[in-house]
Amino acid sequence: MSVTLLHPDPPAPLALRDFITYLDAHLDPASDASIMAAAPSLLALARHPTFLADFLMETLPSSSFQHDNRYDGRVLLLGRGRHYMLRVVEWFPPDTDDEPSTVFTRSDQPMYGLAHSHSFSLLTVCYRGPGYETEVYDCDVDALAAARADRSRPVPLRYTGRHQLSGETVMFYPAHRIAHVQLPPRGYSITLNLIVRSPQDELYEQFFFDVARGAITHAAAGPTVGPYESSLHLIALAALLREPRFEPHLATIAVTHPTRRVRHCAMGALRGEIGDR
Amino acid sequence: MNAVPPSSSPDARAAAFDDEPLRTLLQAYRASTATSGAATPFAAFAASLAAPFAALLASPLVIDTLDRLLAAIAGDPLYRLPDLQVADDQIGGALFDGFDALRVTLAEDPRGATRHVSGAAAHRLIGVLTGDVLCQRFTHLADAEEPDLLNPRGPLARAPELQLRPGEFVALEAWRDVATFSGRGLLLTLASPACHATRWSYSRDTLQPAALRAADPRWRRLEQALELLGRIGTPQHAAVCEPFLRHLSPDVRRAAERTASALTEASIA
Repeated sequence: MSVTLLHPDPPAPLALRDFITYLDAHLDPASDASIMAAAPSLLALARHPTFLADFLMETLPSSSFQHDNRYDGRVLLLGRGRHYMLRVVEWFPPDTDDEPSTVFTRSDQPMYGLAHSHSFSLLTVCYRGPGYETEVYDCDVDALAAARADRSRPVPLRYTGRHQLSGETVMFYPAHRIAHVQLPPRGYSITLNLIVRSPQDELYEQFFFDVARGAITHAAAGPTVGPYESSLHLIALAALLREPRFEPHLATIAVTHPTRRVRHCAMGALRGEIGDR
Repeated sequence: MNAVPPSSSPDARAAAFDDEPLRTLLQAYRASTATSGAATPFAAFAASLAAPFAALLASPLVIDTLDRLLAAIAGDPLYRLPDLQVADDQIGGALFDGFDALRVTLAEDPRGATRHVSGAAAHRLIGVLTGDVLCQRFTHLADAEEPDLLNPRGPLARAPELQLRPGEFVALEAWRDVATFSGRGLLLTLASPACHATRWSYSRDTLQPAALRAADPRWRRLEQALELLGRIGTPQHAAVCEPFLRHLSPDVRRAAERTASALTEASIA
């Protein structure tokens, strides 16, 4: 499945609270159709002229403002549920004076120009500005599954086109099935992102690719902390404590956890190594 | 202390969890740092918290907590800690019931040492939970005229190194004391609220001050949010800037001034 461009009829503006209510009532994280069905509501939110300023006015005075926001860059969290997160991302053109062209990675890596997959499904629309362009590739899912176990295995990427994000088109990127390269926008832009992670999505990491070679260059744990990332942190701490009580748990994780990297880390912890994190 | 058999369920482990040392420390911490907005004096911070911190360091609470969480992950790979606080190699709030001032960290970053040494804007007690850890200490000999203004001619002086063993800890004063840790081990850190708006970082080679960083990384988020509001807001949104004109961070204050001005000008135009 490739990226999907959705063009809902222009809906009446929707308030943020109403969109969250919709998601809580209707969103099924395991269903692409259910995620795409949220597109008209996301577009309706984007057509609300002051919802974002109103949100800031309401939340900025709180001492816990964005307390659970793990992003480094210009990203704000608008709301979250058990399996979704709604965020705002600011995008700056490369020649801007006031902000480097780096966005929303945990380690300050520039994301422009880097082919990457997502460990979540993404529904996105432009709220302000011209929006970014993106070059999209389909991932061979079987090859990706094989490469999770053995990073030296090739992952063929099939180019499917270049797309421009806008205020009329909602784009849907399914988790772990698409790689894309973001190109800087012509002008300052704001996008709204609905991020959906099914329990199965949460077990696997995001990958970065060398498109020409059709290969994974590295994996990254996202700033959306899920069970996969938290497991790695806890196992790293457990490795140093060398507590006999931990051994049966680590042995179980090393054999049964569905994620190779977590199994590897648990095996290392049993040997007293901090492990591949 | 309640003994927790390894075969018990996560719920049974939670019920048997002895968090008395944590509750005592939290109580002392609240009393010590409740100083109506003023920075906590270092001597008072260290004196009032040393004993309960040492008691927590000596207790098996961290091991019990990790045991409980690992058992949960072994039973369910999708087990999710509610609101887990993780930053780099730190775990905080989730281990200690949301008490974010207390964190467990790896003594040494497995990715290797950086080229800079970081100072702190908060007083800290840092102790060893496990392992054998070398603490290299540095200090400013003179008082800073203004800790929120970087003085490149105010280098650190080396202080005697300490080899810390489990249960031992150091007390570090905000801005004045700087420390790095190396070796295989786990540290427990208790930090006061920020005493200054910024912290300094230093060249590891020369110990010269090299850069100012915000005391609290979340302040950068406030600054960015205020700037965003300046781009998209209307005159009706200007009022939210007012309390930030008195914020501890000069960057936040400047962002609030610019946004309030931009939104007010939009109203006049």
